[in-house]
Amino acid sequence: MKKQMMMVLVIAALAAGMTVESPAWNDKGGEKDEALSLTPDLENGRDVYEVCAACHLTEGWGTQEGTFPQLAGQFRDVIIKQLADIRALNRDNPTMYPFALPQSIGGPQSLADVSAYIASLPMNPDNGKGLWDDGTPEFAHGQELYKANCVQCHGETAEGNEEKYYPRLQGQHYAYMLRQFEWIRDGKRRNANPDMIKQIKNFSDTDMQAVINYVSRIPVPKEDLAPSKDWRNPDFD
Amino acid sequence: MKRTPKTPFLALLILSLAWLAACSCNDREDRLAKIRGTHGESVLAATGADVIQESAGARLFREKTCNTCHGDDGIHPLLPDYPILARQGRDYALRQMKDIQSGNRASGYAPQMQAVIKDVTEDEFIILADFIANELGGGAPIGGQPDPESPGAKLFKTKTCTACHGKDGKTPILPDYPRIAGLPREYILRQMRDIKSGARANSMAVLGMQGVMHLVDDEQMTQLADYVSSLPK
Ligand code: HEC
Ligand code: HEC
Ligand code: HEC
Ligand code: HEC
Repeated sequence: MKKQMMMVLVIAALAAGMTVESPAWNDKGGEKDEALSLTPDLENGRDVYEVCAACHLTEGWGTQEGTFPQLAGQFRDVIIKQLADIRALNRDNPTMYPFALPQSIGGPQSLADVSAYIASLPMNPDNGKGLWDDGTPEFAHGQELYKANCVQCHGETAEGNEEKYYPRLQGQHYAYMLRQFEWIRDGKRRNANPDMIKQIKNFSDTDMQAVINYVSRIPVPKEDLAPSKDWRNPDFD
Repeated sequence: MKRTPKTPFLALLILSLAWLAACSCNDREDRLAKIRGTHGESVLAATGADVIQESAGARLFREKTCNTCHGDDGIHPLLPDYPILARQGRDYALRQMKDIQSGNRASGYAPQMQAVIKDVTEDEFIILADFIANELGGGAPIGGQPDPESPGAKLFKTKTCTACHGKDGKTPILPDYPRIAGLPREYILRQMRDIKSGARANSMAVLGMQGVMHLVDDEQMTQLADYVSSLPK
């Protein structure tokens, strides 16, 4: 009897431990949904964005070497979710942590404003790309992997899916995506989507480089791009 | 006008001043300055051997020998690559003292300080942190005249430093982030190198800065140190 009790307790404890380890990928409600329901004020969004620009640049283009991701053109809800996750320490980002806190960004209205401002910025026509051009075997390998494993969520041209919080990958820097992909695969990015983790868990490092190389070379529709890579955001003159 | 109640107090003051004048302590000038001085909370009390009651923070700063390394005014430290403490942020100073005591921050010369502050209590740290932030150094100038055209000025803007430390180096994004304006050049350089190398890794906050330090090489760090040390605090 005693033994059975112990077993039950152990199993219960294990189960409790497991639920702690895997927080829901995308809980509904709360500040996130509130921010999305508010009407954004782009002017305030620009003011909030000023401090972000020190790292993500005034254009929101990030850096080719991948330390800072491009934010321009990303969906509002993805931006808000990432900020909420960083704030909750659900996605480790010690560099950006202070900027995701309410005392520096502000409440739901400011989240609404800054995310709308970012989403309105034209994208970088010169994102960081992988090594392998169209025509190389690595490019072809990556393309194959993408079609088989990623399209269902990130879309045919890596345009993402706003409704489902699937990020747009088009135009993102290679080095940044490679780091994220590896962290998602290896469980280091804790806010990752569990279905994506399952999908990519058998990817080797070579597969990973090939598929991200391909993604980094998918063209962004012209109308979403800035006229040239020398374009500077006039809001910050 | 009721003048009478003040008379005994006045007498006491004169007596104490006379006693001080006779005493040959070499910090007499300081003490006199304090009595005359601007510190509203400094009161006179001719008890025992001493005649002045400093603020609790000032007393601790001296009793715990902080002044031997950091300087009486917190502005002129013993060695040129020791930090200036005066007008450092309260929450930041508090966190650093505790991290140095626990050995969490053990880079550079922090172990020297650790050896001396073993017995300082949490309450005392709080008093010291308030003292450092609000009283130490009075209003004496720190830093100099920054050159906005210098390479360091440009790097300070383009290498993300302003995001966390503020455009002027003294308005950090969070209260427990440091005010770096006007710190000694050599100290700044040493901290940047230690944070970049990971030798100083006492908090999640410092890891945040480490995440951007690959953006600057040693020469650029020198230029940044020139500039940041010249910012007025
Ligand atoms: C001190 C530098 C810094 C500042 C300032 C900063 N960020 Fe970031 N941000 C980063 C870094 C670094 C990353 C990528 C972290 C990683 O590799 O996981 C990031 C990632 C992000 C992401 C996730 C992007 C994605 O594709 O998932 C969002 C959204 C974001 N930042 C928004 C902001 C906003 C909004 C602000 C201003 C309120 C801001 N950041 C300020 C450094 C910064
Ligand atoms: C089941 C849906 C799903 C599949 C399949 C999937 N992903 Fe994802 N992916 C996501 C979601 C959702 C996120 C954002 C996770 C979050 O909220 O933090 C994401 C994030 C990413 C990111 C990080 C983006 C950023 O801005 O930080 C990269 C890179 C990525 N996916 C690449 C891929 C590639 C390449 C494949 C195929 C090999 C793939 N994904 C398959 C759903 C999926
Ligand atoms: C033996 C010399 C010494 C003594 C005594 C000493 N310190 Fe320090 N302190 C240092 C040094 C050196 C550093 C910088 C450590 C390094 O090299 O990284 C420091 C750092 C600090 C810092 C962090 C400064 C910063 O900008 O990060 C604070 C705050 C501080 N000391 C307060 C005190 C207080 C309060 C006392 C007395 C209770 C005290 N120290 C006693 C040598 C000393
Ligand atoms: C992501 C935020 C962030 C960025 C960006 C950043 N720092 Fe820091 N910095 C910090 C934090 C936090 C500390 C204090 C670490 C701790 O908590 O112990 C610090 C400490 C310092 C110190 C030591 C201060 C002291 O009193 O010991 C110096 C000097 C410094 N930073 C300079 C810089 C320079 C120059 C840059 C740009 C190249 C920079 N920082 C970029 C957050 C940042």
